[in-house]
Amino acid sequence: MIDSNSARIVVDAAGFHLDDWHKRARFTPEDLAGLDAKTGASGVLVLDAAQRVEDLTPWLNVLTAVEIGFDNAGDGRGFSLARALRGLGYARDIRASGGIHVDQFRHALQCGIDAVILTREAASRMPEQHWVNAATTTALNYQARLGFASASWRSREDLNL
Amino acid sequence: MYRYNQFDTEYVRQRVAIFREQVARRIAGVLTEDEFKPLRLQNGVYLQLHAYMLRVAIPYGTLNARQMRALAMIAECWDRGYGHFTTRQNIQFNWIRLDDVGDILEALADVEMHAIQTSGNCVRNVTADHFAGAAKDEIEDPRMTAELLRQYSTGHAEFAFLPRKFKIAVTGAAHDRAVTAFHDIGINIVRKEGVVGYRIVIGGGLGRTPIIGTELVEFLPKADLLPYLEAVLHVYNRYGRRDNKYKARIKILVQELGIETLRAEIDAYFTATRDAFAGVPDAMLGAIEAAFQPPEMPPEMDVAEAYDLRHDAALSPALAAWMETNLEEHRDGRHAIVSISLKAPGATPGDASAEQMRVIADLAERYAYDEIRISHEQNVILPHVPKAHIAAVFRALDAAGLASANIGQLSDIIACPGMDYCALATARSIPIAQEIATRFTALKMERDIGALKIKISGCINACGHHHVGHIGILGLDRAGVENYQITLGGDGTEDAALGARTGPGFSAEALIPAIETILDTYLHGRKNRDETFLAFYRRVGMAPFKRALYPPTNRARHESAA
Repeated sequence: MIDSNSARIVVDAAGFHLDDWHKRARFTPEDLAGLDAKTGASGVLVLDAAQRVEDLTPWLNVLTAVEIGFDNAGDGRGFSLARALRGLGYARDIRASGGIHVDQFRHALQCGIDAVILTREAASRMPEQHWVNAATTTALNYQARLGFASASWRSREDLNL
Repeated sequence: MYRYNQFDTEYVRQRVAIFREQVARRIAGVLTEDEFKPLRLQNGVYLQLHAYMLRVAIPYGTLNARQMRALAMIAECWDRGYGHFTTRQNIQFNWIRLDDVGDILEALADVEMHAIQTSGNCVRNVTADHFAGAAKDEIEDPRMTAELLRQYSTGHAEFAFLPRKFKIAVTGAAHDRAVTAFHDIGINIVRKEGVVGYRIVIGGGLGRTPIIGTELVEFLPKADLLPYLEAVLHVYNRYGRRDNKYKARIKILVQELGIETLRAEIDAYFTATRDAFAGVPDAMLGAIEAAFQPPEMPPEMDVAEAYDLRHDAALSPALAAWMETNLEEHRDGRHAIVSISLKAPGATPGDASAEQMRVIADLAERYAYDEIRISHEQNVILPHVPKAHIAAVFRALDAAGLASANIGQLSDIIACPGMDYCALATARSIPIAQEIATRFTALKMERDIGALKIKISGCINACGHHHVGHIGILGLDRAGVENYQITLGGDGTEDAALGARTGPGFSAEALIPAIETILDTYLHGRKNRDETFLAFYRRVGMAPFKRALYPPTNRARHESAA
């Protein structure tokens, strides 16, 4: 069990972890122009769902951490954003935060999101086992059968947790 | 007919299990109503005016007898003994309990059916020409494409939380019976220089903002269909409006961005992602193609080659009348397409009792190669009936109250559930449909009028498709009083047109006389019996109807009443 009051919780397909990004610098796409590669690589790029990720192409091989904010549980733009980032070749971590819940975890993983950042409240209301169970439902995937590349291709070893 | 493979079966069973568990978590309070709502919607569960409603998908309107019997069983076990076939080739059960849904979904899964994505902001049940595989004017059976799209859209992770619902219809014939011009995406199977491909139409729709779809691609190679649709949905998901649900459909995005800009966005994403798509494996395409081959006709059918239906007609005037309206020519001369009307005058359009469902199932099994279709016009179709069996089919239908001879005529009305069931409705629509059907069939005017589509919506969301009715009726609430607007000249086919308003609306009492005035104007003005209502309207326009509906002497009185 995780026992820390300070940090948020991160859940990936394997279960709960402490948020290891909370000490990293956070910046938005507007900050990118003035950013050196080192800061870019060590910080977290925070995107909101309306971002045109195609404009980020020059930075995609520098960045190591992208956080996509979901406005609410009904707003699926973040899924498309993650797909677009993967399509553009971004291969490092993507996490989702905000209005995303356990019944959308399957969708997040299949769109190339590696983990979801939870508030304490959300983590206590949606226990770890529910997330782990939801992750197993990615196995039955019509789109993969039909020839689409699965975006949840990243293996555990790649995850920087 | 397409049969589930092991994957389909596992998928549907898994969805049932997941939904059962979600319902349990909602009841335990773990899921909030906001979180639960999209989940129940994507499993077909609505909260209606009086009770929960379950909407079951009938993909591309195709059923077999076993499935129809399962629907009958569900109607009896968990509802009030009937079901309601909808304008999107679904069936709705209007009186179910939330805690029974898991069991109902399980019963559906037993017969390879489901309620997945029949509502919610996702890709909905894909519809197709209800004469698919039987129509004479068909390039290719559209159900092959529709089944491919069913698989593609089912559980698509990226598109489960779109700005709004997304409806796709497919037609493979020159005559568009699938209303493709009024869908978010309409797919027309076309042939160009001997090659079969798709013409893609985008941004059509009815509802508050009726719009005829715009051509997005003139000819799309078949192999590109899925990655291209993926690009359409991707662009829509990112840029479709989410600030106002009435402006969230893709038709508004088409209007606001303009077709050129939108096409450029879609093409850019398509070009960038096309190579990551490996193509649908041949084995899967082959299985789908094999599933939609024409039924195997027994060898004795050869004898029926010369069967002449006129002999049957001569023996029974009732049968002759029914054959005139409810039979359609089949591509195979030994067969006919039979439409079973769910529009008995005075009944609720689209309703079928469990008993009637069983009668239809028995007939399909006994005479019609076990194939049944549901049309968007809320009727049932037996697509392949040997002509030698037509008279027997008619007699059985007649005994079950299913032999209304009115397909495509005045009393074959599309009506939304209206204020009797729907929480959104502002006026009644089913009672209006019943009144119109009863009145004009009693006057024996129906035959004389001939081809006529009347469509009724009980609010501006237009579920009754009134914009594309030859006569459209829209029920509104005016300061607590029902008021009905009439539109004329709408058409949902390849000659797509939106109906035009006659003028001020009518009270419930004045509505039927107004319809009578419209029909009289047509009957007295038409060149001859071959000039249909729609053809007449296109020739003469609105003016003669306006004059008849709003004569100068009555105008002041009418306006003070409105």
